[in-house]
Amino acid sequence: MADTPATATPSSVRALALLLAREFRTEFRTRSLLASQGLFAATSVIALALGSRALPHNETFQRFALSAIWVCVLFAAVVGLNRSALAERERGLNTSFRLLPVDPAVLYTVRLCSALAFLIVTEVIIFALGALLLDVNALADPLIPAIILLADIGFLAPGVLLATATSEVRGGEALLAVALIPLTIPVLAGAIGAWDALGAGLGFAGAQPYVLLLGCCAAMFLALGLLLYGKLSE
Amino acid sequence: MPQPNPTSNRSFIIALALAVVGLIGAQIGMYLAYRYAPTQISTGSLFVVAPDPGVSSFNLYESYRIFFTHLPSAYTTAVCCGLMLLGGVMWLLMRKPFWDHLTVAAAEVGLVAGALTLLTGAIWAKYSWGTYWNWEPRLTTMLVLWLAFAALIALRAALPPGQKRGILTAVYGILASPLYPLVHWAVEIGSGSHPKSFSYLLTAPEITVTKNVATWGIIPLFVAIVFVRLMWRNVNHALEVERAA
Amino acid sequence: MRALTIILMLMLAAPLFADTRGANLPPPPVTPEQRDALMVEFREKETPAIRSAVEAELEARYRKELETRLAQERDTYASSINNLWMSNAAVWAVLALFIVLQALSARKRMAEIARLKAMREEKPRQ
Repeated sequence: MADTPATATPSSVRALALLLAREFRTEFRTRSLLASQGLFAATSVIALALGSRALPHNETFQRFALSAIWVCVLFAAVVGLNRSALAERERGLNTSFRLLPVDPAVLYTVRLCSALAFLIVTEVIIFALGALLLDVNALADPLIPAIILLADIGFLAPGVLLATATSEVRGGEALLAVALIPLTIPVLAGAIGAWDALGAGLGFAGAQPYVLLLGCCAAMFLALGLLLYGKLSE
Repeated sequence: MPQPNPTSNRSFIIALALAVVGLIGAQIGMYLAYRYAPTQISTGSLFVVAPDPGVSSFNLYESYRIFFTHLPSAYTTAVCCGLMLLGGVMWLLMRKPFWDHLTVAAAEVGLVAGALTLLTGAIWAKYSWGTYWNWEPRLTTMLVLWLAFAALIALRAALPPGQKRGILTAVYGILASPLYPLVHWAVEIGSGSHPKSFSYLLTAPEITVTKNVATWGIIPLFVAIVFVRLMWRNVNHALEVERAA
Repeated sequence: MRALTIILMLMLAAPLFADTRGANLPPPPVTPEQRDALMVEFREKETPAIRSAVEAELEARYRKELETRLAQERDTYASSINNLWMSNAAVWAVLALFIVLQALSARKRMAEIARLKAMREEKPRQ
C-alpha cells in the first residue's frame, strides 16, 4: 500500500484496501484475467523459443532474447489491461465506481495495484519460461527484480489510465496498443539497458543512467495518472 | 450579404501575417545558411597546426548547413509539446473545443516538424557517421516522440466526435508531452554520437547569426501552421454547430 | 733522360717545399668552453626563430593551398548547394502556401457559417 498518496485519509486507505480485496476476490473466483494474460505470455515465449530454436545460445542471442521477452511483457500488459477494463465495463462498474465517495486517485491506485499484481504473476511465468527455454536469467543480479518492478510501473501507470479511457469507446481495445506502446518505449529501453548492464557485471554504476531513465518515466507517468484519472469520468 | 464574424476575420489576417513573416524569416535563414555561413573546417586537421584545445577537430565542411533546418524543426517539436500540454490541461479544466483543437493542431505540426528533424538528421548522419540511423538515445527518444504524435492523431481519427474523444486527446497530449524533456536530456545518457549542442561544434560568429535567424524565422512559420490548423478546426466546428442548429 | 730524371726528382721532392702549416685549418678562434656556450646560445635563440619562420611559410603555403583546393571543391558542388538551397526554400514556401490555402478555406467556411446563421435568423420571421 506504499502507493497511497500522501494526502490519503484513513478512510481512503480503508477504501483502497477494500476495493483491492474486491479485485483480487473477483479474479480468484473467475481467473479470467490471469488465464488470458498468462496464456498469452506463455504462448508468446514458447513461440519465441520455437522460432529461434536453430540459433546458437551465445551472448548475442541472449541479448536479443532479453529484448524479445520484454516485448512479450509489454504485450501481455496490454492484453491484461484491455481484459480488465472490458470486464469492468461489461459489469457496469465504471459508472458505479464513479458514484463511490472516494478520491479518483484511490480508484487509480486500486487499478494500478491489481494490474501490477497480475502482471507480476504473469512475469513469473514469462521469466521462468525464459530461463528454461531462452537462457534469460532474471536472478543474475539482485537489482534485476527492482528494475522489473520499476518497468512494470512505467508500463502500467499510463496503461491503466489509457485502458480506462479507451474502454469507454467502441473498438477501444485496438486503440490501447496504438496509444500505449509509443509512450512506453523509453521504459522498455531503460529496462533492457539496465538489465544488460547488470547482466554484463557492470553493477549499479553501469546501469545508473538507465535506472534513472526508468525511474523518471515511472514517476512521471504515475504522477500524471494520479492527477488525470479523475478527469476521465466527468 | 451578412458580414462575417469580425473575430474570425481578424484571425484570418493574423494567419496570413504569420505566414508571410514566417516565410520571409525562413527564406532569409536559408539564404544565410547557404550563402553567408562559411565552410566549417577546423584548423590543423590536416598536418600543420595542432588543433586548438577545446575546439572540436571534427570537420563538417559544408554538411552542417543542414543543421539550420534540423535545429529549428527540433525546436518546433518542443514548442508543439508545450502547446499539446497546454491544450490538454486547458481542455480538462474548461472543456472548450478550442483547447481540443489546439492539442490536435500541435500534434499535427509536431508530426511534420518531427519528420523533418528525423529526415534531415538521417541525411546528415549518413554523411557524418556513415549510416542513416543508429539507436543512439537522442535519435531513439525523438523517434518515440514522433510515434507519440502519430499515435495521438491515429487515436483521435479512430474515435467519433464527442466528449470521450476530447478526454482521450487531452489525456494523451498530457502523457506524451513530457517526452520532449526526455529527448532534451537524452544526449546526456551514455555515449551517444549525437552532438551535445550546436555551439559545441560550431563557434564562428557567422554561424551563430545564421542559427539565430534560421531559428527565429522557421519557428514562426510552424507556429503559423499550428494557428491556421487551429483556426480551420474552430471554423469547421462552428460550421457543424451551425448546420445542426 | 737527365732532364726527365730531374723533373721526376723535383716532383717527388715537392712536398718538401709545400707550406703545410699555411694550408692546414687554422686553430679554432674560441676555446672548447666558449664553443659549447655558443652552441647552447644558437640552440636557444636562433633555432626557434628559423623554425617559426619556416613554419609560418609552410602555414602560409598550406593556407593558400587549402584555399585554392576549397575553392576548386566549392566550384564542383556549388550547383548542388544551390539546389539544396532552392529545395529547402521550396519546402518553406510550400508550407507557407499551405497556410494561405487553409486560411482561404477557413474564410470560405466562415462565409458559409454567416450565411447559415442569417438564414436561421430569418426563418422565424417568415
